[in-house]
Amino acid sequence: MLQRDSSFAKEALRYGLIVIVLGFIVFPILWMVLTSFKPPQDVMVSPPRFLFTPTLDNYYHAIVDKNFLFYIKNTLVISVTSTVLVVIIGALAAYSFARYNVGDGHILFFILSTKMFPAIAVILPYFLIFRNIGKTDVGRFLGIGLDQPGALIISYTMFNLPFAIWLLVSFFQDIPRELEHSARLDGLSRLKVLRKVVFPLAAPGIAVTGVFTLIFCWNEFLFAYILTRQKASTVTVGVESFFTLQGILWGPVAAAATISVLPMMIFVLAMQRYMVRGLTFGAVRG
Amino acid sequence: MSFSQAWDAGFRALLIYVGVVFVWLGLVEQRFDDPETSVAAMNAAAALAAIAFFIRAFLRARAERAKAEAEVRALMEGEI
Repeated sequence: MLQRDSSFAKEALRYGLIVIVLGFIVFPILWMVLTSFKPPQDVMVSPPRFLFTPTLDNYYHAIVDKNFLFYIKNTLVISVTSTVLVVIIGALAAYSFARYNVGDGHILFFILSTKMFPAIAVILPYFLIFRNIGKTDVGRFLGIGLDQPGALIISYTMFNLPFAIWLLVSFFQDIPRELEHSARLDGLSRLKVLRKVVFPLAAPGIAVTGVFTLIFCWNEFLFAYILTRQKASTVTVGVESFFTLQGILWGPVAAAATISVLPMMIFVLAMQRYMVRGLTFGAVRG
Repeated sequence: MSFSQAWDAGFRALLIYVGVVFVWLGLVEQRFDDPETSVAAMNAAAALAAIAFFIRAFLRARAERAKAEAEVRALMEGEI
């Protein structure tokens, strides 16, 4: 009986701690959603009001007055394009690292080292490069320049590739080489083996890499803030635009933040099953 | 229902609550003369939808668990 009590206490403590940690994670989101429905007089009051008359005025202000859907459209184009590029280039690179050990591990380490410095350290060179490219005919034609989507697509691709390659290398390493050998014996070319055997087997890993890359691109602020002005601004810069000289419009800020979080939240919830499968992929080696 | 299943269902139920609030404020609220009645009805409808979703998730999880246990039991009996 005593043993059962002690085990129950341990379980209760464990779940209590989990609830506290999850509470810390979820509470700001809940607060943001609540604030987005509050009328201006209820936003910054102390003690905070949990009972109020909800309104859609903040959403109206964000969507109609500030044209926030424009930022959503920009972010969608930039994030999806960048994610597709990262997944394609990353998968091919990771496969070569996993199977052919390109560079004996040194190049793989060098790729990761680009993730070790803060983004702010390279923002000035990026700014100058894109400013100069944007002045050329090629830059204008491809839309690569300051305040153009191409600049952000390239920046996000460069910054997310190391993470994608490192994540995908471990997924490819978990696929038995024998499967590829037997496919080769069946007469498939290297590319067909990759397309018909390796990629389908690594699909959960590729999906999870794509989801993480999309989330990183969607939430990125620094590059978007420095490299864009108006035409190619993303949601994070759009939310910042509510910080005016007259003051911070907390209600519209919360509404804009809620609008920008919703697509990602719905997408991640839809992909949740694949993400869990992808993250546990290769956890048990045979 | 495990803790993680309950948390997942709870979070989705919360999203449903917020979704109902959105739809209500956008489409239904204008039909009410008294805003207080509208808010009360909105909260009741949202809570009902969220609770219904949670109960559905709970019943589904319980049925899945029962099915899995029956499969394991059948396997064990087969081995013996």
